[in-house]
Amino acid sequence: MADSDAELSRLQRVADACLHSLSVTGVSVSVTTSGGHRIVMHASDAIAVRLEELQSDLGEGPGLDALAHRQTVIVDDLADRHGTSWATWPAFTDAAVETPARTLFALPLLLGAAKLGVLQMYSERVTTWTDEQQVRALALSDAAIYAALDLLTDAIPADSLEPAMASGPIRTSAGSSAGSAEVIVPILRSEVHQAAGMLMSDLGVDIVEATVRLRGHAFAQGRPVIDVARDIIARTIRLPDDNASGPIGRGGLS
Amino acid sequence: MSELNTTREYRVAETFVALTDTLVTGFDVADLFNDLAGACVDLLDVHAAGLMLVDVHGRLRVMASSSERSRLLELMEIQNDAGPCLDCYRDGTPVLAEDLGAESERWPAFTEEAMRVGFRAAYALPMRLRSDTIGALNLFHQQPGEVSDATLRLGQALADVATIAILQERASRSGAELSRQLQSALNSRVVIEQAKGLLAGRMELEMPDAFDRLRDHARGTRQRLSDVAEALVTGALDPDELLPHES
Repeated sequence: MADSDAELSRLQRVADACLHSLSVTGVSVSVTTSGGHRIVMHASDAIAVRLEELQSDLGEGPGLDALAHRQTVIVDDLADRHGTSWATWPAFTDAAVETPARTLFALPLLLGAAKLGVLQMYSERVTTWTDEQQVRALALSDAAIYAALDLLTDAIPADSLEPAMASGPIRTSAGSSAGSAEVIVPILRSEVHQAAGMLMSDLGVDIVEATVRLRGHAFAQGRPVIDVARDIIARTIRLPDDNASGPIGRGGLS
Repeated sequence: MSELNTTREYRVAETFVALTDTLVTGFDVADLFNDLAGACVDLLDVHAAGLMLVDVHGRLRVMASSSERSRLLELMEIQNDAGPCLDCYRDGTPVLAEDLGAESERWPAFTEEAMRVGFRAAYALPMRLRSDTIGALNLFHQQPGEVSDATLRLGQALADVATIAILQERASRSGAELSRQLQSALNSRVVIEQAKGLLAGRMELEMPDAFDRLRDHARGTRQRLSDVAEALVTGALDPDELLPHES
């Protein structure tokens, strides 16, 4: 992905906002491809990477469960032998407790029916989120969805990011109270999801890839995503059925 | 309209019995909101109704609509810039635009689009419980005119049912739990949009027809609307297996 610097920095901004406002030591974002591979798209440090790898290697852990059950999973204290972590993921916990991490947070990244990936955080001290931090974490997980989608969308020119958000960017207050970088989250309108659904059957791809292709096409043409979505729904344009360029196509990224 | 007539009273009662039944027996938020939008058109003498919920970033997003026409969904969504729903959500009070022809300065883009789609009046009622405003019920009429108190009260009662549906599952009174409920409800709406698109593409249907097929199958097989939508999008259900459309 030659032009991924701009998108990477967007994911970086989300990660930074997590570090600034959620009392955590490290953060990672992983995406699960249609082939079932987990790709770590961002990790703030080696421990965050280790916590991701352990789950991929062992096939168990809070991040995998967060995605499977579509809900936030929090491990209050890895070192607490009476905690649920040891009973639920014995192999993972046995290894994870060797790291400095104590509290783990895993938030699923859901795009409608798609289980896109997980936003994971750890803290070296036993940490409990306040109500406000929980809301902020939800806002940041939502921001991470779009940052990850952009990263999956190959070759987005940096200067096309703004028009792509012309349908109404907002600045979430997620990180602002801590003085960290604000995170811009685009509104994906109803028609964008409809068009992605149509592309699934047109191109024979899953919903994540269909969404990525739609956005990629819009970015490449320098048009707002909503306009391309409307053309697809009106059947006035068709995207090329080009599996080779699919960024997360079967085996495309692994 | 000054009084609810007997037939309408009966339908109102019937509607609330059905909604209450859904609430106590466990329900699919997407399904319930869809029924509510339909009930508004049926009972409130309006031409279209939509329910919007606020997302975790403070934006209003469409949760359900009495019609799946894209332009109606869009008319609701553009109110994030300016419109009766946004004012209603911000103030937590009803906003009544009884003649949209006179509102073009207040909400220029919204008024223009509403009138283009054929609406001349728009009302927004808050979805509110104490200090929380979590969304708004949007009603549209093709003719300008005053709306009766009885209709407004009934509309507010329907909006309150929607509020209760969202708040009911709250395990605690925390803001985070409410945000999670709203996020989950809105995500189930995204699943429905994805499934509509999938069916429209596969069967060459328009979006409202695609939605009808989805809902017919959910009802015919006694499944939740959002579960059927998810099964379609994840490939667990083949579109060819949908129940045939009864026309």
